[in-house]
Amino acid sequence: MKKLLKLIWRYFKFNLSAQMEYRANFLIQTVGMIINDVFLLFFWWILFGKVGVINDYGMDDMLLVYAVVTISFGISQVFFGNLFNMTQIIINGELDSYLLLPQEPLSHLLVSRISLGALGDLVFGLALFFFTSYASVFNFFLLIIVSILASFVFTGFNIIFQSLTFYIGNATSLASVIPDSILTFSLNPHTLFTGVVRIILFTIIPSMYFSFMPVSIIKHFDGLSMLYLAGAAVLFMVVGVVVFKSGLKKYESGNLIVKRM
Amino acid sequence: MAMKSLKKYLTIFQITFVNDLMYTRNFIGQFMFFGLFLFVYSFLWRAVFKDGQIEGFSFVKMMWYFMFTESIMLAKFVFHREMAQDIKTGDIAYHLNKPYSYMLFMYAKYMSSSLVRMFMNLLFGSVILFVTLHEAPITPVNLILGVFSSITGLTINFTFYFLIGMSAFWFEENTAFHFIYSKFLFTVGGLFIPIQFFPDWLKQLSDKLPFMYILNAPAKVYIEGVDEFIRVFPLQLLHVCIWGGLIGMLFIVGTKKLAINGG
Repeated sequence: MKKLLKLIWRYFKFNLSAQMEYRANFLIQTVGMIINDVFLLFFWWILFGKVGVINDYGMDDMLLVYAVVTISFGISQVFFGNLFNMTQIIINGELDSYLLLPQEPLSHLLVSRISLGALGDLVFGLALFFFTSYASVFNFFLLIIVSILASFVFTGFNIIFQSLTFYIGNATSLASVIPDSILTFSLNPHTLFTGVVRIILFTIIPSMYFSFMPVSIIKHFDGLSMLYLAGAAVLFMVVGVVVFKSGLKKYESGNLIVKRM
Repeated sequence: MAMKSLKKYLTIFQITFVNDLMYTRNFIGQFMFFGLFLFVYSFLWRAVFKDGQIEGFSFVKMMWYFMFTESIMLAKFVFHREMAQDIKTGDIAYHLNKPYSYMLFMYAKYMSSSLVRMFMNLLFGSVILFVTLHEAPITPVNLILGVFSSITGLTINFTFYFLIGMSAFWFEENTAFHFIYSKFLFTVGGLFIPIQFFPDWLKQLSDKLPFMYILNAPAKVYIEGVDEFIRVFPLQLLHVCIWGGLIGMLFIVGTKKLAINGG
């Protein structure tokens, strides 16, 4: 574990300094994503301006939802930046270069890239939190913890779907719609979804652990919910690792020569 | 002479059209994304419109509006990167010495790809909404006028993509321009929420900008028909003339800046 954390930290520093080499690009991508997130709030600003409250959700609640989701997504993509590229790496036979090294391949593959846009998400979410009525030192502390846990749910879930490529061949379409589905459901008031859809959002598309539960914990702290969230984070990561490892046995090398710089 | 000139662009249109139809697998990801959006937003709009109409929109109307704007938004063939690359590498020279207008060549290619996607999206979205809502606030006349308005909207969008692509004559990197442009479509273009929901000052501002004529105007024509078409279509044509004229002039200026080395 200590070795893994060390690897993550070293890769983070290395990736960040590599990206800082092109400062203009770094700024464009990071600031661009912050602007993108601000524009997303435009929709809710107009809608709440027209109807006031939607199923017990007001603008303030949506700001908190956006803060949690963007921070969680940001953490996942900053530290595990290769998450969405897994399918392509497997198809292209580029996994060989990770398999030859002494580090465990999944963690190594995930941390070897950083997403600059996600860094913008992270900054945006942290700043946005202080515009909500929930901003306090204790809640900020909670925000960080629940966002880390939610990011593990998101990462684990995506590992499962990206690893399907080992079993069913090119799963690009499926793998690309998965993060979108979690995010689209998560960035809406959770009270909209009831019945079967709600069950789906707790299981097949775990948006409830990605936005509703973390938001609810910040609003009304509850130890049991925190335990549930931690349990979900562990469960999704473990299943993700198991699916990847058993899928790896089916991996066929393409004899591709890859130079990772 | 004019017919002969038109024929070559129609041929380009035809080739791209048939080519895109061959790769229907490419539509799967887009349909999944589109279906997901329709599904999620149906919950939101049902809650928003539970007490009745807002600004003349009901739940059913809103769902169809959203389907039409998304059909156009997801249909646009993004070519600015390819064009910028042509300019930066000098490959554009291979087009300039051919017996066709580069601008019209790109337009034929863009429109062909965009129309295939738009019709596929409309078909897919309409089937989903018919099956789930059992109601459609559209008539065959609305549909025909809506298609005309959408094609004009896509043409306005073409002028902006061409403008962004052409920026490579002056700027090394142009992705930021595309990013900003897509945000304008998302907001004052009325992608997710109709312009009619905006506060008065923003509504008036959006009316003067070209972006609402790409998404909001065609979607409203599909839903409201002849009256809306008479109101917005001349304004759409006006924007095509203004922005089309501008890119025509800028392209002449830009090509004069072009330096081509042999090799």
